[in-house]
Amino acid sequence: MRARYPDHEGYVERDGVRTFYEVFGSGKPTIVLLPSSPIIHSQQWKAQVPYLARHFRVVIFDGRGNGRSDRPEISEAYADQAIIGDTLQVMDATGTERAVFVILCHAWWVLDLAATYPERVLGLVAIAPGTPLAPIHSNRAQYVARFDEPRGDYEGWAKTNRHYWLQDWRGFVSFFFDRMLPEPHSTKQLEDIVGWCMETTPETMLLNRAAAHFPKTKEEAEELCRKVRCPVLVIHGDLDECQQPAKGEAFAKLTGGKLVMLEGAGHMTPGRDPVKVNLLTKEFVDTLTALQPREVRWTRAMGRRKRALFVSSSIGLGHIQRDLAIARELRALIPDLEIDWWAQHPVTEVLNAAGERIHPQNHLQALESAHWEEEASQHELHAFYAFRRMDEIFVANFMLFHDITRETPYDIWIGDESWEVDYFLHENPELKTAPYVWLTDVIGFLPVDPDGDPREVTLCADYNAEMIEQRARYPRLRDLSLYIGEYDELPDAAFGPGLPNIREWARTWYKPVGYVLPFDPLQYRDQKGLRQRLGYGNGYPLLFAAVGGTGVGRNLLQRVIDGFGQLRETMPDARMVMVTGPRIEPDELPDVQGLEKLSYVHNLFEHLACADAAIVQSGLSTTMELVATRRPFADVPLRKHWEQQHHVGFRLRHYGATNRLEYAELSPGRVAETLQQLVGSRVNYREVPRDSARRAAQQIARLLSR
Amino acid sequence: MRARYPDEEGYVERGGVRTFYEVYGSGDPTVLFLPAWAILHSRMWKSQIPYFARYQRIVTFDPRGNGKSDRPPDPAAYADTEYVEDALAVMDVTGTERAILVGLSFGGWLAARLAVDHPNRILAVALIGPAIPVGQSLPGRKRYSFDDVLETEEGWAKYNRHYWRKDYRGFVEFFIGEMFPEPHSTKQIEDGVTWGLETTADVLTATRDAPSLQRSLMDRPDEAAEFCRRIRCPVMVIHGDQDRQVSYTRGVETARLTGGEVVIIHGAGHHPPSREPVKTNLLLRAFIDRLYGPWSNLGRNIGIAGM
Repeated sequence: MRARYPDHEGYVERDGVRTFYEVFGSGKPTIVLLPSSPIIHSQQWKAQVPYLARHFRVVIFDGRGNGRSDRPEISEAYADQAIIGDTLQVMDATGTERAVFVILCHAWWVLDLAATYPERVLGLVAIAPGTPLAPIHSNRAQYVARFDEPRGDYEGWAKTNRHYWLQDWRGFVSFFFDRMLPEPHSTKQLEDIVGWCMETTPETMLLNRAAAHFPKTKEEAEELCRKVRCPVLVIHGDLDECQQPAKGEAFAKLTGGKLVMLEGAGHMTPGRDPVKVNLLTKEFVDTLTALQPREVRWTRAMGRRKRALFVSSSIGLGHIQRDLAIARELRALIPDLEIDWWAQHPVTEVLNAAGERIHPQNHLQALESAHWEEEASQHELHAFYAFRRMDEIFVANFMLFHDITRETPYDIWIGDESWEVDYFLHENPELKTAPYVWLTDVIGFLPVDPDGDPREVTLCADYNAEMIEQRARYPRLRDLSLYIGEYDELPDAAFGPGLPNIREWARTWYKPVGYVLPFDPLQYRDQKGLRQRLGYGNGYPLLFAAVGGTGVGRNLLQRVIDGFGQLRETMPDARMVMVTGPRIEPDELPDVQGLEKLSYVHNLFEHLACADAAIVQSGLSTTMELVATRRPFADVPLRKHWEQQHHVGFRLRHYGATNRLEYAELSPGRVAETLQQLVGSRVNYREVPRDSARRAAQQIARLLSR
Repeated sequence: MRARYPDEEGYVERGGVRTFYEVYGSGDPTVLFLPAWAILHSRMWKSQIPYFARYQRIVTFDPRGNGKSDRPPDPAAYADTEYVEDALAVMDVTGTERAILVGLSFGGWLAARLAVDHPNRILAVALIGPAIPVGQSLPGRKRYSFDDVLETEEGWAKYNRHYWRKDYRGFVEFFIGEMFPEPHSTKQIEDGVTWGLETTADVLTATRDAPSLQRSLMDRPDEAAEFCRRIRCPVMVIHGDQDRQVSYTRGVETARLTGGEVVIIHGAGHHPPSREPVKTNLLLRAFIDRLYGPWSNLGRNIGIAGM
């Protein structure tokens, strides 16, 4: 799913060719993010749109030949004048008199646009601008010169050839954009771009190549540059193999613009260094629109209240209970500490119920839980791939985090699996302006299908390697890394081929605080008394089923209901309480005798502590609460969920909870049989520590006071 | 010793009164740091000048009545129009065709007058705690007569010509102390008192007796507002909400009337350039950069080279 959807969309038509556009936001001025078409389409700006649209109005469109725009079959339709005409018409259709233009690579026609229509251009951001201001890159000059000649082989840059394009378009774009992304760990960006390239055809690209483009010579380009009157910002990667950095330098010099050279960066900086490109663009646009009447307040340092920003991951509901437990202990240590929470629905409901203060701009986040639900089906959630496809949401939400932490100078940032904050801070370490604590209960992506999916093996290892390199390069970026558990609760496995062992690595890079429970388990050992107190009464088998906070558990609940129906044939007095979570309506599930369905139960652990047996999804919080209250249970991991499959399973075995069922084998008979065996069985679990929240809080408090 | 010494210094003379100026650094556009009331002089900008001089040309001068400038006895010599003319004379003699003005308190008023009366020479104005008579006067501050002999010498009763003559130091210490409500301001107060004692009760009395449009607008809010609306250049206001000399509502209202931007500093008094120097410097830097930085339209239009 996208991090932000357009407020308005439509088509313009010129000479029978339709161009698709989208409009986001309502600020001033308008920014038109121009297409590098036809090779890619407007999704190229997915890391920019959500951020810029919060501050300005953003217009994007698919250039003819790709995306949702038409693909005319004559080359004249791809001439510079055609796309300039489309741009002006999109501006007219969207009521955009003047705009700031942003272009990647295809700057030649934008130069012409800016020089010819100065009244419509407020400013120009030219990223890796391609013009004849410097010679074509030496890597492929000889092949471009003989583009039309068939060759015996098409190794390397020889793929820059008409015949190879027609023979293996995917082969060309895979090679080309791999070279455009020299930065390590660029797998997601490459995959995205190749996907967009495959939405057009080599035939279209050849039509574009044959169309009229201007300027052709260095002199023509120089003359055009000098005609540009608007402010210009040039962003260029010094490792760019498409447009040499010398082109960007000359472009900035001749237009009187400012050059920002990104060292170590390639050609695709909007995708690969999104935070930097976004902030540079924002800063540039701000200078064009100074003098807006506004009021700013700044509080002297010594007059500020002590404030923490607590970022609680919204993937599942378990984190928030432990985060609240840590926050309680932290307040006991630092009574004047105010905490603002940064979280998403449904976590915000828990926070509201607890009377906590949620940051007022919280609701502007792109929703993670909606993304997870879209990714899930049939008790299956490929958590790693889903996580990886969250790239657009992560960058959008990091930009928001960046804005709010600039507005409020917090004393500390605490992130419980705040993946986007952690990743982009390591990518942009100069943006760290407060002590920063990272908490996690999971370290390392482990493949769920190592035999059947070699791509997953490679990608997991690549993600782990990037994280390991980030930590090694910027060790002080996190002032504290806390592992929610002990070292021996971690998988005894490598991060990937040739990478360190997770448990050994963690000994260097994490402080363990023990598994954090949101309650004291000793108060929940009197099952009979508790059942009395909560109104369940005694004298019959009380069963529980629960699936956590997302909508993914629906299929599991359905099977459990069928199994419970069978169980009632042999255990007719059994009753079951089923907790569907806030995202599954109880009414959507069938009714069976003895079954009570609830969507949300406050302090679920109290109720689980009453159970004679339970069957639950392998979410960490629920299973560990059952371990802590010493109830017999079976857990069913989501298929392809790396954390439930590996980390939770490993931890549960460590604690002696070994009744794990696979969804595939979960027939109604199997459910009934399992519950039958569990009722009345004895457990032999390891004790869960009771002081972990305090241990975590003590570590964090050291960053706030002496 | 100073953090930075001027590259050029000198005097400009008008009607027999000499005004001392200093020039630092190079690069367009020039920033002119104006004097405030003559109880202070140009050293009040000591936390700004070394920083800004690294980027662009800085001009500052001592007000007639303090520092190295003359101290004429005639009250008429201290009219606000005389200070305006001194500023223009300093700009002329230093070859400063146009400048960005930074003014604090009475200097904020001077900046506004320059912007209204000489728009072709003023690029933009940054007003800090400006004593511009719009907005409200300070609530709860007891008003005493300046001219009458008072029965008390407590608090603002010290703002009185008879008290000045009797205990000038007492007045300066009180007045500068009021300027810095922020805790731990000993050095700033000590500096201010030192500068205040470089002039005399007679000089300050003369400045108080001088004709002033500013004072005459105090009771005419509509005319004061109209005056503000005549400022056409970009405006930024910085004002501490604990200012005990000029209510921060004056700064807020000035920004509103001029279409400018305002930064309110919670917990700050009347002299942020001394007490909150880093924040003040960065705010001024950002304001100037937005207008004349490398990406600015204005900078290009007036032919200012990249800074």
